[in-house]
Amino acid sequence: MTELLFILSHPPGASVYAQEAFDAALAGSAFSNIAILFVGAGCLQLIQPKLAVEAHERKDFQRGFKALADYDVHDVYGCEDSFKQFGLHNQALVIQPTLLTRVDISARLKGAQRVLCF
Amino acid sequence: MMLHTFNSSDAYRLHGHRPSATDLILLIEDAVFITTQQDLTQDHRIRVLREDLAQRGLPEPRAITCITYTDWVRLTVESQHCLTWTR
Repeated sequence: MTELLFILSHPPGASVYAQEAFDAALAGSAFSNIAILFVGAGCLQLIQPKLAVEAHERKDFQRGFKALADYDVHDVYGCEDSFKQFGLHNQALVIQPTLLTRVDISARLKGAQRVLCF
Repeated sequence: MMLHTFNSSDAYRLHGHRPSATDLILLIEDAVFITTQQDLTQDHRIRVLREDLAQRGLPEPRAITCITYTDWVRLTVESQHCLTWTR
């Protein structure tokens, strides 16, 4: 059972939400069974950054998504509707999440012990 | 029951479809402006923070439930999860 469900809804770069969420998820994975759900513009975090780190003046934290499995984070989900909205089906992504429908997302929310929105 | 809190019109536009029929929706901060833009009277899940309406000089909508900070705390305690959608 998912003890902590992290919902990531902010795009990378526009604010610190995205990176803060990733850092919090890694910290949470040390003591809980966690899951990550990308929704809305948060799905854009999954796109492989193309600019050099210096160009966007922020840490290239998205590469860290590949290490999630090493932190025992295997439940990584994405909103199917958001993927369609942002045309992500044919994009090169850092990692490929399991896509969930709106109904699936509701079920995941209900099943989680705690939900944290970033 | 889950409590979905929205703090802006953009957040509501992007994620307003996510709450289920049994959830509650709370509009706070600039999201209270939605009450002047859309007819939300048919949606009985909607709650609006009275304080934020007053701070923006908006009247309390007649058919929408306005709540106080105390009510908000009560809803938070009663809800299984509290999700905050920001923008």
